Amino acid sequence: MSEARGESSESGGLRPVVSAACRRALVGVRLDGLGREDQVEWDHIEQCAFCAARVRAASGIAAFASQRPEAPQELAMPALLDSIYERATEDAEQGVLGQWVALAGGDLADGDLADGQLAGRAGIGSWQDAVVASPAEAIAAAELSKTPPPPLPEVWSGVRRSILAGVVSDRAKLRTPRHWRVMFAGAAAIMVIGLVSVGGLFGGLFGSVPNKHTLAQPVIGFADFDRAPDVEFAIARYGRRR
Amino acid sequence: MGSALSLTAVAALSLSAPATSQTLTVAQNNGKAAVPSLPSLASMEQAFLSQDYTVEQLRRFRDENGSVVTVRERLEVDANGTARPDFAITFLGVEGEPPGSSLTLEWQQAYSRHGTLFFRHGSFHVRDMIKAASNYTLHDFGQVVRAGRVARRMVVFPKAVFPHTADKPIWVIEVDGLTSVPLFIAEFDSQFQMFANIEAVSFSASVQMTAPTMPIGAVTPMANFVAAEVFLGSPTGLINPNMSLVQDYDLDTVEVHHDPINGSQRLIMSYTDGIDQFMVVQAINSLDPFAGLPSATVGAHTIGRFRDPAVSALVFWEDGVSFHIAGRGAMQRLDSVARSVYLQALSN
Repeated sequence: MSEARGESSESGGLRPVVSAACRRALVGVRLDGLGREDQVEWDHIEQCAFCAARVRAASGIAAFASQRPEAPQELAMPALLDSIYERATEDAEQGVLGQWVALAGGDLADGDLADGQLAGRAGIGSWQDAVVASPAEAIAAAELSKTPPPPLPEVWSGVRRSILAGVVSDRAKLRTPRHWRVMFAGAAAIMVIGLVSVGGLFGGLFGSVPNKHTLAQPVIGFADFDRAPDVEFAIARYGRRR
Repeated sequence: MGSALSLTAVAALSLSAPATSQTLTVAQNNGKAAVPSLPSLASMEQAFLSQDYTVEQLRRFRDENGSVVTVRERLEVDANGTARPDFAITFLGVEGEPPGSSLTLEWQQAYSRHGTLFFRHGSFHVRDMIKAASNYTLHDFGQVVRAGRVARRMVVFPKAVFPHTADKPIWVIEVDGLTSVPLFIAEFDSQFQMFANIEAVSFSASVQMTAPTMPIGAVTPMANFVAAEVFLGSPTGLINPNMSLVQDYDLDTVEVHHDPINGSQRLIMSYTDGIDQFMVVQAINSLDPFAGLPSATVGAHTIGRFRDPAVSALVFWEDGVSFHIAGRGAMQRLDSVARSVYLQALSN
């Protein structure tokens, strides 16, 4: 029964842990009931604990998934929808798409379009106005609006690997700093508690009386002797002592 | 003062007296006469490490009152390749004093107790050639004859820069041309006042030493402070002095002295600029010498200080350890050294 899961665990790297057989079997499982389009797949589900668990879970949420949830009243308010649109527009302008559009507009203004048609972008009220302002812009609009050709399978596969690699690396980045952040925060907390404890201990024991553990610089004075003490250097100089 | 002047006069005469009447000795080496070469700091350091010799010499002491006593001694050195050669120093008498006089007996006793100090800390040695070369310059003042040997008169002059231009010694030495062993040593301060003088009267580049002179107590050389601390049982109050602020001077030797009479133990750390020395001595398990003073009752920190032209000595006590810091009299920066060590002891 765990054969399929065994296969999936062997596939490391960025591939999903669900094996191909399980994926084929689960395609026929619908949230509104268990479809039996393919008897072979159902046999797999009966033999595979992983798929059986998924099917049981699907049957449990089938009732909820079959009903469309009712939207809150707030979402139906025009003001909220406008703010959502504005937020989406701002995000798009500040994101990669907005940068691309800005660059494309600059190239057109400098090269293909005649002076005054974009009027240095000053006379254009909206993107649509710019698009319909000239045949060249109409061509550009047509280029933008047409359905792009499907990417090559190997290109799409590369993009997919890149996206998954990015997700994995982001997880790693998130995990590591969080770990160090926790350790650093813990060490800082211990240090602060230790300092407070030591300060409280000495403050409690000695009060404000200066002692050698305080940071105050001790005052050191000199008292002059009238004869040399018995130190090796003096003996080497003077020889015998009186 | 008169004695000091006479000592200076003796030194001046010994520096200028011609020695044409002396019999010159030229060592023979495989039948060929060895040619004396110009001594250098390196050759003097090498001689200290590897040259055996026997010398009879006059050592002149000047006490705190300025009186000069000339003592005749015999020094036998059996080099062993280290900075601690085996040696025997023998008291022969006080010049001008009859044998058996009280003064002679006092000095005989002084040699029995402190003879090792006279050799190791009361003579001219190149203790660290690299540091000596960076802190002193060597100047040749021509050929002389000393103790029947052809020698070169050299002046070892400090390179000290402000503010330490006046606290370094100036040495006039006469170095045997064949062995690079000093045959005459005179130490002056920046005012050309002489403090130490040793003059060889006979010299032989060999030794037949029967029993080396041993210090009256046990002296144990240590590799460093940590080894000494462990050796002493890690007593409280012992510190490793931070001497990074003392310009030109680095740690030279670390020794533990044990006095068999009173059982006291002392850690002696010597610092050198290549030739000159100062010492930091820590006597563990000692009583506070200032305990009875009124200042001690109010928690004041006091450093006892003695300074004359020959000696600077600073003494204080902290946490069961008596600290002695001593060096040349002109080395007034030892005051700040003592203050720094005291602060270190207080924060220990």
